[in-house]
Amino acid sequence: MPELLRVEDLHRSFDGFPAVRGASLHVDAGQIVAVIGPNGAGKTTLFNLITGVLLPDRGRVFLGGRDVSRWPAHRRCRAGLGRTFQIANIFPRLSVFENVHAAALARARRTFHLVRPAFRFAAQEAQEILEHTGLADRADHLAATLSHGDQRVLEIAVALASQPRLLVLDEPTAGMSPEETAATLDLITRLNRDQGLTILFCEHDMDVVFSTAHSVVVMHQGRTLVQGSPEEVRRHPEVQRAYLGDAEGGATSPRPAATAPRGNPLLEAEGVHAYYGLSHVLFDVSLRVWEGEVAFLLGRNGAGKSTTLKTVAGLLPPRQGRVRYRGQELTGRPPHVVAQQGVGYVPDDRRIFPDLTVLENLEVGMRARAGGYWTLERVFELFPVLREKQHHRGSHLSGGEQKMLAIARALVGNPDLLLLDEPMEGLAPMLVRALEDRIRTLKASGLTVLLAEQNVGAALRLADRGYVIDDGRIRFEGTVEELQGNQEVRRRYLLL
Amino acid sequence: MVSARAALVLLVAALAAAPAWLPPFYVYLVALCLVTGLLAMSLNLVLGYGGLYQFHHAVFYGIGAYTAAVGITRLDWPAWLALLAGPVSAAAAGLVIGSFCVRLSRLYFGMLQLSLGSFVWIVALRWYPVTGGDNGIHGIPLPAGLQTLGGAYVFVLVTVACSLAALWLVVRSPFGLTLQAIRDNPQRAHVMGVDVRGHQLAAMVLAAFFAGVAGVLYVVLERSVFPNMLFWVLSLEILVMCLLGGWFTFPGPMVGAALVVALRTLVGRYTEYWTLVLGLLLILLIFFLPEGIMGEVGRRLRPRPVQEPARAPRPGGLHA
Repeated sequence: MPELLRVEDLHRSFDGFPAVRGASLHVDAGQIVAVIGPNGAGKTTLFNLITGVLLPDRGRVFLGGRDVSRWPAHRRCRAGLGRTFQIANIFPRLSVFENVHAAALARARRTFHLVRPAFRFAAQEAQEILEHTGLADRADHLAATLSHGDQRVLEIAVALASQPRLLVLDEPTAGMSPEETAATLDLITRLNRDQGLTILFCEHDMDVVFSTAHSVVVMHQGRTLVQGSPEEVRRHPEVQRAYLGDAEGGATSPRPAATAPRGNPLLEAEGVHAYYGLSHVLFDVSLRVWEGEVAFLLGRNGAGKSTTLKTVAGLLPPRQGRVRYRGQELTGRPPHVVAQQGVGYVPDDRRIFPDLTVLENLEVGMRARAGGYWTLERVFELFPVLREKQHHRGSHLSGGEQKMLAIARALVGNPDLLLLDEPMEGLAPMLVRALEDRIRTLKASGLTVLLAEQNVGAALRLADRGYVIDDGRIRFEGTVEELQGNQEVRRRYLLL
Repeated sequence: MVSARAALVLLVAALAAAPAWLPPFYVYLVALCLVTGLLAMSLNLVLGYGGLYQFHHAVFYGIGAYTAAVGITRLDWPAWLALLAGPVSAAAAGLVIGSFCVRLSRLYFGMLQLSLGSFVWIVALRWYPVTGGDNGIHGIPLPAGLQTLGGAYVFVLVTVACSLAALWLVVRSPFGLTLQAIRDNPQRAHVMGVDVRGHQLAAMVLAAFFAGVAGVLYVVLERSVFPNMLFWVLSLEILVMCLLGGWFTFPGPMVGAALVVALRTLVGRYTEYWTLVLGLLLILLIFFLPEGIMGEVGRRLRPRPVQEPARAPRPGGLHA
């Protein structure tokens, strides 16, 4: 098969930090190629270099035999290179149809046409793509109102409208529920099989990678280590060490027996109803978290997990119901007051300060409290990579590193209760395991955690007891053992 | 849709017949609202549709007006030619200023435009032999048909109607859709194969052209020009008109302009502190109608999408 993309020894630095230092790979026409690597390995930077969002300091990119290394992004797109982004990157104020239509118009090079209405051009094309991707029934919806999973699919639809020869997908299933992930993988394989589309993607989920890709590239610390078939890569010793960690499939430390909660709860939410504008999103949510425990809050995407944490953190005041912390009324108190009371909040979308350095991000979050356990030194021990990069700007960190920074920032505030919103999302397997250990350490230090997760396995290994939420309603309350014994709840609300 | 079209026809008919049933002062006021409204709508092409921080749009208005005025009074051009030259030179200025500004993004775009625009303003203010300096130019002789208020009114009405029709075509065209895509997400548009700066520059030239048209209409209506027409304070006022009327809607800026002009004229009769009323209005607007007047009207007219009640929008939406 002819070679469609060749990348030769790319280098690119930010503020003197080499994010990519020696990346090479090749993609044959008709293949699905996956790039794997731990957080901060340089995958997103590599994709930005390939698609022309960034220009390399050194090295070359060939597309269909032509050297495109210095071409701007829009020129590479016209040459057949379409892409999606790690964080849903769409046109929020346009309708779903218009999102795809705008891309189809760009492909048809009609964007400077001024007189006739837009729907006279390329509308059929856009419609077909919507049907192919399963978005046709939502064509009139405002893109901003789509669910996260649908927005990611819309991204792919927008990329398809450019009629690319090579489609580059940056973590296409990040943050998706299991069934959305399956549907997206199905879409990727269909595009490859039915339309002969060549696909390059990066991904954390090893199952996704090994079941989908024809060829796998491994990246570590800005370098590509090896490219080969999934089997070859799985067996490669260097890969085992660098990425999979030595404990793949190994035993996890045994979970201590859950102690029955007693006394007054640290956090208590009672009959909470919350709204986004006009839409009612939480219905009569009640939950309690006792001092020293890790409580899970499980549920699908859009079930109301993040909303519940936001309501507790004061970001979304409940319309009805009350939130109490250490017996004190927190209902409707602003976020900074809630934080001062000792509640730390780690949002799922990180929300770090992009223009501040890592150190400055942490300094902002610091709160001197008598006997506070968490100091800069201690969070650096917990996340050594943050020490290394303490003078880098937040926006220059990779997605996973930003996640660690968000957690570290909450920790230096020395909270008594930590609200963790999907800390595992988008982290490499090795880091998930490391983070599990860290959360166990946190628990041992006396910290109370309310953990919202989609990663059911990890959550159940860590937690003592907790809740399952679906459609904005609490559907289950009990210990881990009770949940594991309850087939009905697991099947209906967690799709296990 | 049918009722909206009927309302539009009624409105145009009422406006066309205005000289027959309104006292002259109000005919003049309506014409002034139309001219200012066109100016605001031309700004909104780059502001609301293009997402560009066009902080000094009045410059193009002033350049259009001054070109016509200087052409007629100093260069002895035929009046019609001078009136045509106004928008053309405004568009040329848009091209020059724009090609510097589109290299920068967001606030820096706006700041550079303010400084380049102030440069033009200083020229108009100090170049006495040509621009009349701080006196401006008055008593500009116009072609026969435009010398009466009635004639000027009809000319203004027809020109504004044609300009708005042209702007409507533009925002609905592939170019208009692409411009909105760039506004929402320039990076994505770029990767999609759109030459972002090229489209932004084209939008600025178009917007400057229609601002020039408004400038020429001002000359037709007032027969004078003065340096404040390209002072930054006026730019700020136009910006406020867009926000007040609703900058994500097509007719919003016209409504905002009519409101500001009416306030200035009618409240200005009783107190020189009419801007106090405007300020209060703005505060109320920010609290209660963040999408502007027409944004709110549109929201109420639109059938509410059926939502699954418990599906939370993604977190980003909450803080938007």
